[in-house]
Amino acid sequence: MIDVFLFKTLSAGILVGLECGMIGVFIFLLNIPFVGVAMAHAAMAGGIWGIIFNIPTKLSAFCLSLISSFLIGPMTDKLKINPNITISIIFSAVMGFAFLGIGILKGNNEMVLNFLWGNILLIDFFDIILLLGTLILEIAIIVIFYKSYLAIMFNREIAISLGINDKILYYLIFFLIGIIISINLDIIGGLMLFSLIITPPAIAYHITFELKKFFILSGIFGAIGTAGGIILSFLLNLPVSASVVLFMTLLFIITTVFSPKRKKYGQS
Amino acid sequence: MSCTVEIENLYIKLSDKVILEDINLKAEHGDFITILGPNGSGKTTILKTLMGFYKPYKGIIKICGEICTEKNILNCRNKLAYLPQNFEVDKFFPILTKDIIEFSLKEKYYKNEKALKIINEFNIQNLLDKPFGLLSGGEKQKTILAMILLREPVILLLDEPNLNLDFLAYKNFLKIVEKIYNQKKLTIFLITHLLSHISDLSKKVIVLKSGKIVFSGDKKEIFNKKDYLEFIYD
Ligand SMILES: Nc1ncnc2c1ncn2[C@@H]1O[C@H](COP(=O)(O)OP(=O)(O)OP(=O)(O)O)[C@@H](O)[C@H]1O
Ligand SMILES: [Mg+2]
Repeated sequence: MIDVFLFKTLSAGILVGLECGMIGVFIFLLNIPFVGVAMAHAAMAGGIWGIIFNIPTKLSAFCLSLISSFLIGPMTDKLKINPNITISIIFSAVMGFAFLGIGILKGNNEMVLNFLWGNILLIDFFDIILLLGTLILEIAIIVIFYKSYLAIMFNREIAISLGINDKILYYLIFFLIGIIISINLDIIGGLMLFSLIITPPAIAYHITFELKKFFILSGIFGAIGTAGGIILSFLLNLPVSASVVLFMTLLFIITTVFSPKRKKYGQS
Repeated sequence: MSCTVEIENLYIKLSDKVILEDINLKAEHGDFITILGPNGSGKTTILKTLMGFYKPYKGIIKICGEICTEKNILNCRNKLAYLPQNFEVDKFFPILTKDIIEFSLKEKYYKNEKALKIINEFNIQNLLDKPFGLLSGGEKQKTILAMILLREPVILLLDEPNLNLDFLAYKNFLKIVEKIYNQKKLTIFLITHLLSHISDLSKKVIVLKSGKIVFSGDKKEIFNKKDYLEFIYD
């Protein structure tokens, strides 16, 4: 019994780790770490208003976080500002929206906590299919547009001058980030998600100078981190999210100390 | 194919400020034009407008006889190659020098004869497996130039290529550009502040001041003026 349960959680965890780790590469290189936090709170606002309007909360949460992710790319481009500012504007807007809803609802904090922590132990078969589907979509987009994304993240002006349609691809990244974050958020919650999109690429960054390997390593470290964290939590009877986040951080510390890049190329 | 660059009555407005005013310019195929002018006079803006980064507020741009609009912008861009004034890259950005070269290729660089040839000419073989972010300014410049030349442009836009180069490196850089110019009969626009290092092959000069062309013509004519420094920079 326990083994089946562990197996289910582990496979979900590995899928989550892989796709969050890989999407984290975009988030890392575009330097937009708070996109996850902003979307987690958009989902929270969506959930709260779902209760108010009597819509399934999963659906309303998913929709609002997805909508907010679609806004980031075009808003950033139109306003010609740093995407982090756009993300912050969206973040504060959805926070306002969420608190407005909480004021109307009065109470019911349990759900709010769920958006922060999620619950990977409650995943079902449908969740695993969703995770698998998004993972395939993600890998397809990365493989098909690999060179274009390398150029866009390297230097947008050079990418444009190579004839790359930067706008559509730039928006597509946010679309992909939006889908993956929205789906994972429901499963693992905002806090663990934040750790899983930021830490694996930060680890891979210490190791490689090639984008291809960066994606692969980041995905693998995401998977190792979640799998290790889940196993630890089962063995030691700890809360899963906390265990994963802390295990991930430990991996980061170890690789930072032994960073091959830093060893080879000196300071900074 | 003969290919001219024509700018007619061009106005560019950025953030509600007129940056370029009534620019008229015609480059014949094979012209090597040096663009001079003080900081902020609009030199970079002209090249970026040719690339289609900015939409004209008024006026038209014709490249190889074709008017460039939003619709056919990719067509126009395909004839151009642009070396930006600065391309800051994070030192540890995950990209190798060969990845940059391969931006212009469908296959690996070692399977492409043209790529191998230009890599040899530019003498960048030993850089290919190095992280691009760790190259020196001059090495970066050479790599980007090699990459954009592999796209076989008809028109080359170089924005202050001397910026990261020391004296000798810039001389060598110009030599490469001159060699390619002679081989391929390109049209070149080159922006610089280094008046003492204008290529002998560049016969035409344009001087920009506060967004207007104040001189356009023979290089000799301008350097024969006694007060040419004041003329260009005051
Ligand atoms: N996006 C923009 N919005 C508003 N103003 C701009 C923008 N880009 C450039 N400018 C202004 O346009 C003017 C011309 O800029 P440009 O970069 O073309 O100058 P330049 O001649 O290349 O100068 P330099 O020799 O310093 O490179 C400057 O006053 C600059 O401040
Ligand atoms: Mg300039």
